[in-house]
Amino acid sequence: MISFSHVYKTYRGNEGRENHALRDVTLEVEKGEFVFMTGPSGAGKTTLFRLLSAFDRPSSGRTSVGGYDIATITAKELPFFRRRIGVVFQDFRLLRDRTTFDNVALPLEILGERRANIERRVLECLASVGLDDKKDEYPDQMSGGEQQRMAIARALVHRPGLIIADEPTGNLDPAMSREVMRLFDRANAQGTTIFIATHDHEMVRRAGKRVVEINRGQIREQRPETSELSLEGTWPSMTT
Amino acid sequence: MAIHDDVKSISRSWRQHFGLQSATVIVLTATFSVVIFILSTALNFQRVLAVWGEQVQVSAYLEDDLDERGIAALKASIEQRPDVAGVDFISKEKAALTFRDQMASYAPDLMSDSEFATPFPASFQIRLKEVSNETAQVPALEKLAREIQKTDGVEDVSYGQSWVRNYSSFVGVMKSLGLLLGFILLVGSLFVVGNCVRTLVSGRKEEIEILELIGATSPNIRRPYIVEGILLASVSALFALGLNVVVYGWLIEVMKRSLAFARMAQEFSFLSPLQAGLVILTACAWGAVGAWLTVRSLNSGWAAARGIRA
Ligand SMILES: Nc1ncnc2c1ncn2[C@@H]1O[C@H](COP(=O)(O)OP(=O)(O)O)[C@@H](O)[C@H]1O
Ligand SMILES: [Mg+2]
Repeated sequence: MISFSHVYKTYRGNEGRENHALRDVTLEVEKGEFVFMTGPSGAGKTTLFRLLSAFDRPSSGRTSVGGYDIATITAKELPFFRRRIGVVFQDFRLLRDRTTFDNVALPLEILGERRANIERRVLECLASVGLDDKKDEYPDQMSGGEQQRMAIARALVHRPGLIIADEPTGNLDPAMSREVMRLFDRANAQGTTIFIATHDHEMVRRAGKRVVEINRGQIREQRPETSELSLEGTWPSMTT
Repeated sequence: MAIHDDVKSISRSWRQHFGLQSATVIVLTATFSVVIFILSTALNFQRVLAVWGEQVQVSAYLEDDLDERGIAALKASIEQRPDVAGVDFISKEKAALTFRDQMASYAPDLMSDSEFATPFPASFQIRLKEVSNETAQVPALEKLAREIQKTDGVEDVSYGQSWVRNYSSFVGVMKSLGLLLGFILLVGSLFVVGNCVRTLVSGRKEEIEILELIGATSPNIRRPYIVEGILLASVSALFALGLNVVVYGWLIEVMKRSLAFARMAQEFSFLSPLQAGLVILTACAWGAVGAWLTVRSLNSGWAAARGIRA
């Protein structure tokens, strides 16, 4: 599903200084896998996700997602690729002047779904993230956690084959986090590949899934059976 | 995304930018009003030229000493010309009678004046064949007059030279001026539409970016703006047509009351429903072009990559 090899993403600083947000990243994720990505702030998680979801192109290296090469994808293919994935942005990226319902309906509208289907599916999704009573409200009238759930519902609504979520539980309380993780689990059980960036090591540990660690733009693989140990080593303060 | 979404999106934009949109409609209405006025006036002048041109006859006044055989021969030779539809012979006596009839109400004394001779020569009234193109009418008329003038037995030719030529060149000048002014105004209106759309777009940069990220195609994203351009232009065209109907009705009334223009007013009318429909269609196309020129390079698919968002 995801195949990165020797990927660099380089931003040029003010005085022409190069900042490698990603350096020599090689990563394979199979179809149907559930992968966590952890790493401190500024490590390059969002940058990696931007490449995964074709919101930006790599500076060098090969990035293939769902059969599309992100480095060479054409402007024509781009929207069709994006329709097949579901993305939860760290900053939500909701449309301020649309209601919760209309925001979540957007991917289905873009796919040209029938009105009745859209209605049914959106209400179903809103109910699953606990927002069914807020469907006519606007993002600015809602809390951070509610906006985050709206963003999650929008990523799930069109049943994409790949879901990429950047810190999707960052604004949620533990109970809601667990609820949201169950949603991702359910989608994963139906064959959807899931890739989640998170700070929440407790959640990662409990889930017992594959973990990819990123630091200063470089990644380190950790298999589930070893994750607990090394997590304790890397973040002693997080251990229980 | 369906029309349904365009409607939503446009009603949102009207709520947000009501001042801008209204100002745009007002400017466009003014512009289109002038263009429509020029257009319908040009059409009217053209029609007057055509109608009057058709009514124009060439009178060939015959030399006094021409006998009946000479007259018959001359008539036959003129009738043979390809541009002539028919020739009527007006004898001296008939010309005098007609003149008396016409003058009766103006100068009744003249009728009783037995001294009043008939100074009118005999003449041919020559009717022209219809010319398909109105602008060819006057040159054709002049050519015919020139050639008949040269014929033996013809003393003089008259066809209302001066007014036909003057009116024709007047229409020509008006047409060129109208074309120029109309062109300038229409190009200006493209910018007016484009500018309005540009403002709408800049207020919705983030929305465009998000739509792109979720997989909307470029046409998807651009379409509401194009529809917006069409809407602005067509609403303005409707207003402009309405305004012109009123102004034209008033103008024709005024012309009818003025002696100099009364006859012209008979031929004057506003655009036909078909022409008005064409005007609205053209305005729609124009609005679409104006909007398209602005949004054609709006999004390449990588809007999010351009914006700095770490
Ligand atoms: N658009 C950008 N321009 C310049 N530098 C950037 C940009 N986006 C990210 N960076 C840099 O890349 C590095 C990784 O950032 P990011 O991927 O957002 O980290 P994370 O999501 O793990 O917190 C940081 O040093 C950040 O400053
Ligand atoms: Mg981040």
